This record gives sequence, C-alpha cells and structure tokens, in this order.
Amino acid sequence: MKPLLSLKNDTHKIMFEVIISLIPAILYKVYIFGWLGAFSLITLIATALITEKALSKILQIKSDLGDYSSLITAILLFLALNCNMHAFIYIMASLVAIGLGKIVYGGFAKNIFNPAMVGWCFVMISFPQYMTKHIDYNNSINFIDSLRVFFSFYNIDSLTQATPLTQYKHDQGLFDSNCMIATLNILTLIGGLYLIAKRVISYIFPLFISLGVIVALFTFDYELFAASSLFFLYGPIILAAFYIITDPVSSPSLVKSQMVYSFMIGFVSILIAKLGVFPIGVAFAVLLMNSINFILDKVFNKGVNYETK
Amino acid sequence: MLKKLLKQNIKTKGLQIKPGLKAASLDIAQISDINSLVYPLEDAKLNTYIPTVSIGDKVKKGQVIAEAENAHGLKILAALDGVIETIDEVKAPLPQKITPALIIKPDNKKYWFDDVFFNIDVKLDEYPKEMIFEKIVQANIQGLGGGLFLSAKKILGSNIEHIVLNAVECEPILNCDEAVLYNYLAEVLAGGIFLKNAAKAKTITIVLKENKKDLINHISHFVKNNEQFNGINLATVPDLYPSGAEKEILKHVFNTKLTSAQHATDHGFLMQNVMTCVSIFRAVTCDLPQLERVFSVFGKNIESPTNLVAPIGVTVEDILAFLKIDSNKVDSIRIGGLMMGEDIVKGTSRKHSALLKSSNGIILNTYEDKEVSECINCGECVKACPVDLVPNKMFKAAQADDFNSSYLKNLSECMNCNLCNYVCPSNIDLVGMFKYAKQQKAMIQEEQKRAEYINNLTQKKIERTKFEKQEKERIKQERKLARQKRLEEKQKKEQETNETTA
Repeated sequence: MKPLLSLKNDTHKIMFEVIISLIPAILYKVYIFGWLGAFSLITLIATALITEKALSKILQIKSDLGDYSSLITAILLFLALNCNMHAFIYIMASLVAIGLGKIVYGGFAKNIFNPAMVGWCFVMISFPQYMTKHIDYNNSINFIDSLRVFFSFYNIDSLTQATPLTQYKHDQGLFDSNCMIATLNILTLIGGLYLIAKRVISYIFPLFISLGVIVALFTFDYELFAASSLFFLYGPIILAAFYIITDPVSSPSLVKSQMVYSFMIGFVSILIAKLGVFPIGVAFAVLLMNSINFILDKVFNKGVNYETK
Repeated sequence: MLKKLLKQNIKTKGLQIKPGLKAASLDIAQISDINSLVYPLEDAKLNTYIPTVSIGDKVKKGQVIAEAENAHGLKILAALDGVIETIDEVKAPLPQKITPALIIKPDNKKYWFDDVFFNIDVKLDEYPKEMIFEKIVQANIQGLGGGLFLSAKKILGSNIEHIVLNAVECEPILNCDEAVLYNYLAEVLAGGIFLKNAAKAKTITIVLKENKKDLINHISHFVKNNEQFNGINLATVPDLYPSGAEKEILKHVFNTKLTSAQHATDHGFLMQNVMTCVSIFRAVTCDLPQLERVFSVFGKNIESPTNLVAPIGVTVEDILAFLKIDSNKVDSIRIGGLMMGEDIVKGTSRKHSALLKSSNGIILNTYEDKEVSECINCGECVKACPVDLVPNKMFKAAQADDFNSSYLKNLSECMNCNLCNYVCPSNIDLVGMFKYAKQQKAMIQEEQKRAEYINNLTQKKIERTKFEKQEKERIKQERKLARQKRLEEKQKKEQETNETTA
C-alpha cells in the first residue's frame, strides 16, 4: 500500500529501537549488581521467550512480533526488579508477565494490561520482603557466592540494604548517598529521550506523568524539592514515564486521553505511596489506568462532533 | 471579531508526501496511434451501463453508445469514428475488479486533438444562460477531478454564489492540472465565466497550492492583463495531502465546514476541476463533447514522464507503445493518484485496461508487497487522519462487525484518503476495512428500512382487520337492535289490533 516512500517507522523497527535504547541502562545495571544482575537478566529473558514460544504453540498463536515484545517485557522486568532474589522468583515474574499478562488475552497486541507490570505486581505482593531491599553494591560478591545466593534460599540479609524509597518511607528523609541508582535512572532517561527523538514515543507521556507527580506531591504536603528529587532520581518514575506507560498496546490512542492517562498515573502513584504501605505505587496506578483507557478513548472521541443527520 | 479569530483556527490537517519520483514535464503531448477503444460497462461508483448499440454498428465521434442503468443522465460517448467490435465478451480490468466492456475499432488509427483556443474578441457575457446549460448537458460533461459528478446537475443546485475552480492536485507528483493551466489558462477561465453565468453566481475563485509560485504569478499576471477576467480571485492552500479535497478547500479557504451528508452546493459553492472548465469552454463555443482528458504518466524507472492528452477509452497498451516503454518491464499499473489510486488486478491483459474518465494518472511499477503485522495501537493513524477520526479503533470495531460502535458513527466522514494506510507501521489496510464497513453499514440500513416498511404494512393490516371486525360487530349489533325494534313494534301493533278487535 505504501508506494515508493521510504518507511518512517515499521513495527519491527519500533521494537528494535526500544531495545537499542535500553542497552546502556541494562549494561550499567549488570555492572553495578555484578553476577547477580547478569543471572537475573538471563533468567528473566530465557523464561519469557520460552513461555512465549511454548504457549503460542499450544494455543496456535502466530506472531513474530510477540518474541520482540516478550524480550522487551523481560528487560523492563529486569530494570524494575531488584537483584537480590532467588531464581524461582524471577521465573515466576516472567511466567506471570507473559502468560497471565499477555497470552491469556490472545497474544501480542490483544492484552489489556502492561505485561511487565502484571509480573511485577505479582512478585511485589507474593514476596514483599525481597522487594524493599537491594544488594548493597559496596560489597562485591564473587561468582560462586552469587550462584549460591541465586539458587538457594541463602540468607543474604547481611548483604542487602533498604532501597532509598523504603528508607524514605520509614525514616522520612535521609537517603542513600550512593549515586548509582541515580546514574541508572539518568541512563534510562537518555534512552527515553532517544526514543522521543526517533518519534517512537510521544513526549506527552513523560510530561504529564511528571506533572501528575508534582501536583500530587504538592497536594499531599511533601517537601517538594527533596521528595521530587527522590522519586525522580531514585524512584521508578523515569522508567515508567518513558518505557512502561508509553507501551502503545495498553495505552489510549487519543492525545487528550493520553494526557489524562499519564497525569492520573503520576497522581495515583504518589497517592498510593502516601496512604498505602508500599513506598510507591506506579505499577498499581498503571494497571488501574490500563483498565480504564478504553473508557477514556470513548469519552474523548465524543469531542469530535459531526452533526449526525 | 473573536468569532472570526476562532474560525480562522480551522486548519487543514495533512502530510507532506515526497516520494522519489520524477514529475512529468508541463507540456502536453498528444497520443498518435490508437488501435482500440475500451469502455468498461461499469464504473468505480457501481453504476452499470447498458449499451444502446449492437455489434457491427458504425458509430460516429460523439455518439451515445451506452447509458447508465440506475443513475440518471450518465452516458458513454464514442470518442472516435469506428465499428463496435465486441460487447460483453471481453472483461476490462478496473481497479480491484473486472467488468464486461464494449470495444470500438476506430476507422482511422491516427488521432489528433482538435485544439480550440480562446479568442479575445469573443464577448463571454453574450452567451445566454440557457444555451450554456443546454450545451453542457449535450456534451455530457462530468467532473474530471475524480468525482464524475454531472456538471449540469451541479449548476441546477439552488442559490449558487461562488464558483471555485480547483487546481490543487494534492496527490504527490501528479501535475496534469498544472499542465492544463499553463497550456489552456484562458480556456479554463472562460469556462469558469460560463459556469458563473449559467449558475448566476457572483464570484470566481481559483484555488492553487501555496508552493506553486510560478503558476500563481502567471495566473495573476494573466488575470490583470485581460479585462474579461478581471474579477477572478486567487486563493491558496498549504502543500499538504489531502488539502485538495472539496471539503478541505471549503474548510481552509472559505471557513465552511461540511458534514458528510452535505454537498458544496448546499452552501452555495460550485466546485469544478480546471480540466472540466476546458471541456465546458469547448462545449459551449464549438459544440465539442467531452471525449478527451489530460493525464500524467509516470512511475519508477520511467525516464521521460509525460502529460498526455488522449481520448477516454484508450488502452494502456497504446499509451505504453506511444511512450516507447517496454510493456514487459512494467509489473504494476496504478490508475489514479499515488495515494488514492488503485492498482489494476494483476495478470489481466493490458490490451483491455482502459483510461477512465476519472483517472488523472497512470502510474507504473509502484506496487510493493508489504508484510502486514498486528496493530500495536501506536496512534499514528489518529494523528494523521485529516477528519479527526480514530482509525485504529474503527478498524477493530469493523473487524469485529460491531457496526453500532461509537467509533463507527462518523464513518461516512472518511474520504478514503489513504493517509492512515500510509503512516501505519504495521502496513495494515485500514481503508479497505472501512470500505467494507461502509458497504455493510449501507446494507444494514437498507435492511432496516425494508423491515420498517414491512412492519408498517403489517401494522396497517392488523389495524385494518381490527377495524373491519369492529365494523362487522357494529353492523351486527345494529341489525340486532333493528330486528328487536321491529319485533317490538310488531308486538305493539298486534296488541293494538288485539285491543281494537277486543
């Protein structure tokens, strides 16, 4: 159908660009968390791809794009999860994300919820004790120890510390002076800006989620500067803003509804952090808004009014 | 004031499309050898034509050879003297379908175009209104922009105030209208004035693309230097696709928004393509029917793209032979523009694919096989849609046959501009699905109408039988009463007679 015109974007190319833009962040995370990082990444990706292939074969779903999207889901899970968990938990996360988040709806592009967030929420609710702590990256762990940690329920409390967000939740203030997580977030941000420059994602999502977060911080009497630097630099907001909520399949397609969608995600995340037990509720907010994005599109579609005769 | 400002914010949406193809030169060449003329007996708008001649008949140039079955007034005229060779035997490929055709073998292979030029001494206002109208009807003039509306019908529309001459040509690369303007400017404007007089309109506006500066200068100079054309206005639209659509022009130049159910004539605008104006000029001054059109021939690996004038019905084979293009090296033929045109069915004979009245271009070798993947809901089509529809959601609704969906409510606004197909990263044929949905919707509506009609009839019948029953009952009652009365009277009389006798 497209005559002679060089393709601006191709669906395969879009997926490919997303993976490319995530590479710096992946490498850096593997670097700071050492062997445990590498193990968890490999486990997540392998489980995701195997699940996708096996379930597609059983249910006879044909899709070459599904593999790409599973890969992205696994990478996003890797960036969202901590690296102090047992192999079984990673396998469960990937399995739930691909199986329950995507395949049950009929495969790629038919899912309602963001698969990565489905997996993340499952792990968060099932194994909360792991989610609020991460490896203290000042202690380097050698290969053998890493294997032992990864494959046995070896108590690694001595090696972990609370994440900055958890610290903030309990102690109000005082957070990690180590800037490695902040660097990771900045690398993610650079990847996201690259995607915007390549016109793969729209700038509306990051802009309005930030707006939502800031408005929420303001309404709930947070210490604006400290809290926002905490949530943006040490929290998951940047990853969510550029990679999670921009997932085209589970986000609305009208500009106005995209604005409301991302603003509400930002706002509800902070609301959950303020009132709930979790340090921040981005994933829950994303799932919530995923479920109503069809309604948002329908509501704003009526804004285009042609006289009906 | 504020209202005016707000109104000016209605902007044309669209995209700049710049494919790497060579545009045709602005000279118009004449086709020379014609081996046969092919007239498909069906057109893109599903009208079928019934031939009024039979095989072996001799026909003259301009003779009516077929008339439309369901649309009143549409005719096919023979473009050359010749003999009817076959009817219905041969199938002619139209875009996306194959239809029976009528073939004329011309007596004389050589063809020349009767050029008629405008003479400055002729006073255009002296032609009476009725005569212009009659000649337009006689010449069977249809809009050559692609709509194929009968010009005479447009003139009949009440209260026309503005004549708009459309020379926008938003289809990329196509430039036959531009060529017509360079070669026949006086004739175009004279045709416009005839239209204005026939429809009793007040103004004439000629609409062009912004970026054609030379042409704009040329026209404004010409208009200034000729007294007869002094009142003609020039307007421009941005260089976007599809800014040349009727609705987009009215929206951008005249701030008038049309709904799908309305025509431009409902708002007092009469829009004609510039090539149609030349036809009108030729018809009014020299009684020449509309037999020829100008079109662009271009494509991939075509070194000398050309604007050609040829009789309607000329075959693609003849065109390729005239341009000295090896027919074996052409894999696809697209009739119409790059965006809205459609490839003719593959594997059909080029001998029988004909130039149609609506085809403003013949584009070679542009077919590309594209891999289709799933819709990822990226929203590119939503951003591109010039009429603010939601193509991705509409596609899904149509796919699920959910024609009552709120997304498909404004489906009729879609003008098949193909922009959504163009931007789709998954290469989905959205417009094809919308065409299907439109057909289905029309069918459902017809069904509903029929059901309603039948429902009405049965309702009426039920009422009638009820009424009849009541009436019968009433009559029965009346008779009963009457009988009783009579009986009573009889008894009374008997009593009386008894009394008297007693």
